[in-house]
Amino acid sequence: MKKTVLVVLLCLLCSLSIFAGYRLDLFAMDPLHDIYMADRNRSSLGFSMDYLFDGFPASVMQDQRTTKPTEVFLRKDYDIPMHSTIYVGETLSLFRNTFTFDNWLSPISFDFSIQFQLKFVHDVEITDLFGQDGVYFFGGTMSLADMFSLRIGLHHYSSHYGDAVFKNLKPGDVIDPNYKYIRMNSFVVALSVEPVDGIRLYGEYSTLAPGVTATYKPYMFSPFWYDTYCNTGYPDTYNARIINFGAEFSYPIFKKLGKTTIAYDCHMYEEGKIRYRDASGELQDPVYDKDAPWEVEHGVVLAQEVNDLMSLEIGYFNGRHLLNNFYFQRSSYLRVGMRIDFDGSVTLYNSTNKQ
Amino acid sequence: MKKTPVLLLLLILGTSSLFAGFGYRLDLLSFDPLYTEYQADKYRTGMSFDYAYVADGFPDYVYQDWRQANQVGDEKNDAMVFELNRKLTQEPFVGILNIGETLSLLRHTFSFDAWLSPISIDFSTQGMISFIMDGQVADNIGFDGAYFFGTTIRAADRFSLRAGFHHYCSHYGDAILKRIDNHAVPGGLSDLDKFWITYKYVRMNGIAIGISVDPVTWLRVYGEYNFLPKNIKSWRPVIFRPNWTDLTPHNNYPDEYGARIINFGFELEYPIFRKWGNTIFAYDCHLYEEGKIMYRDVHGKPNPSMTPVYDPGAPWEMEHSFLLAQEINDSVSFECGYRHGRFPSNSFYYQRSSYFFLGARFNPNPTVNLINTEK
Repeated sequence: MKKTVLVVLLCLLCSLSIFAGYRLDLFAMDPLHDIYMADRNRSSLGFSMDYLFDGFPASVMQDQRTTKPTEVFLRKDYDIPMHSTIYVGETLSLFRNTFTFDNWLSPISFDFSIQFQLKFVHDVEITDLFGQDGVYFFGGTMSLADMFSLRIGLHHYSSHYGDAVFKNLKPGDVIDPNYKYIRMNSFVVALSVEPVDGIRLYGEYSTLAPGVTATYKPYMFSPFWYDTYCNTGYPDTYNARIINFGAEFSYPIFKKLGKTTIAYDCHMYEEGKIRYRDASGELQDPVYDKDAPWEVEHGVVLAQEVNDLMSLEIGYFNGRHLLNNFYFQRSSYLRVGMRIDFDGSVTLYNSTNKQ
Repeated sequence: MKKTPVLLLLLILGTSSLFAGFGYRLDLLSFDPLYTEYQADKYRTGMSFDYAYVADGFPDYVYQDWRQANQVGDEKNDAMVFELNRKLTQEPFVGILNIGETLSLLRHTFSFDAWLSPISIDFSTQGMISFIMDGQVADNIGFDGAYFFGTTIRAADRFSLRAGFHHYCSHYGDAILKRIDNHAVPGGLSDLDKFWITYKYVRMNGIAIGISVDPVTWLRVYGEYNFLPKNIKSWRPVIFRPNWTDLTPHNNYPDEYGARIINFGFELEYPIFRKWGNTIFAYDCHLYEEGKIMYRDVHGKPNPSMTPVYDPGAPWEMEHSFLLAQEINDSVSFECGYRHGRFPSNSFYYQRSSYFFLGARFNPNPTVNLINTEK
């Protein structure tokens, strides 16, 4: 193992002379594979107020291994269907290697990348906390010709109840306080293309994989191979996959401020094929319905940069609730917020040799 | 009411000409405080993430004082100690995530040919939320909110002042609510389960007056005095209330007791590594008059059966913080430090802790300028 690393390092150093320029950054905060602007789980730092037209959480659903899910309704103390949401996230691009040369493919960069986010969803007064979600990606990212980018790695979701849930249970209600939506860790591969300046298209595929996925809940969504005791009735083809894709258009309409961006993102969850409610809405033993569509989630965001650091945003989302613990809750909400985007880097080596 | 802002605006515009030999600048909004936050203060307004090793005083119980009668029927308990059914975290580490920023609103800056120039004044809000997470940054031990709103002034880039209201409040996180012993029904209250789920440390809103001086470019010294008005809106724990408050008081405390907080400190900064930015060393000391209230037993644990008493001979409770930070660019710093005093979350105000921390701070300073006339 040690020899392999040494050989790779030597090859890298020997091949440097082939390139016109080489740069090694120990650490950078601007991602090679940029975040998806309209993704509700994107890695970014920001704050938003979210007004829910529909689907403010009214219950907690938890499933067991062998029976249908249970649902406990919350006391409705929240008159205003709004959330205050704090996002804390950033990309950490580590050991980024960038090669520049005289070819249309230049520059080529690759790194080891971590993209994480913690999301805190509060009531409107930012006093009670409905919950916090953790999302992260770790793996390799690559960029070619400032046009194509790629990421491959593992993706993690987990969700935690906040005090607003515990406080709003009725006396006698029983929930498992440690229950959570967790997807640890699915395999993800993504490709992004910017055919012209100002337009970006991307797609991503996420799947659970034997040997990689350590923990996965709700049980009713797990494929047959994950927990044979529970979901043997599901076909081999079902794998709780997630596909997302989207488009982003950017243009500096207000040149003094920065770019204006409109972004659309669509998430599709194969979990939509699992039926855990009957036609009347009552909970039932989960079944796989081959004719059911994948669950779909849409996000649209309009963002205006106000300087190198800050953007103001407005968006509309229709799909799951902000928190993954309420995965069973379809919501639609309007978001108004701001985003702060740090892009610092620490360079170890920068050679700009001209041939 | 509508006339007042219009008149003020006209007054400002009308008097601008008086500063013909001066420069005047009006910023609608700035993130760059006139009264800079205290670098080593636990409740520093800013964005940061620190990972802390709690060398001593990791909480393993929850203390609540003076339950309201209606919480559990007619029963009234002065105080209760609740044990946790398992540790808050396997290792004594916590993640401390602070989200906050200064919003300096309608900042007026006058510059002129005198040593006092420039003089700036604004309406300022300095708010932060501090999330204390377990060592895996999964469960939330609690989150605290602290904010200041009032006026800040800066003169000669050397003296600064702030005066206004200061708010603290603390909330239990899921890590606590999951672990209250004999609490099989989270959120439920029964005769067997007297845990008060909405109990919190709250100080809403004390009055704060702070002054800061930079005698030379590399040194800053400051001091702040925080006291509570008689008609304060909300204040817990009850054991710390003086006898003169409009809220239910402790009548056995003397008049001079006011649950005051004094803090002071100094900061040294110098660009040792010029390519990056300043290296900063900061010290902050908080003094709590609440230290004069005796409610713990000989082992230092709150005693529910003990009637709190004021001890004139007891010292104020002290909290020390040291911080070493290195800027790496205009907006990012790395920092490490040591604190000895209260636990990071105010919900554990009764818990003496000492901890080391290591982390990063993000400090954006953009401004939205409305007028800038440089003469």
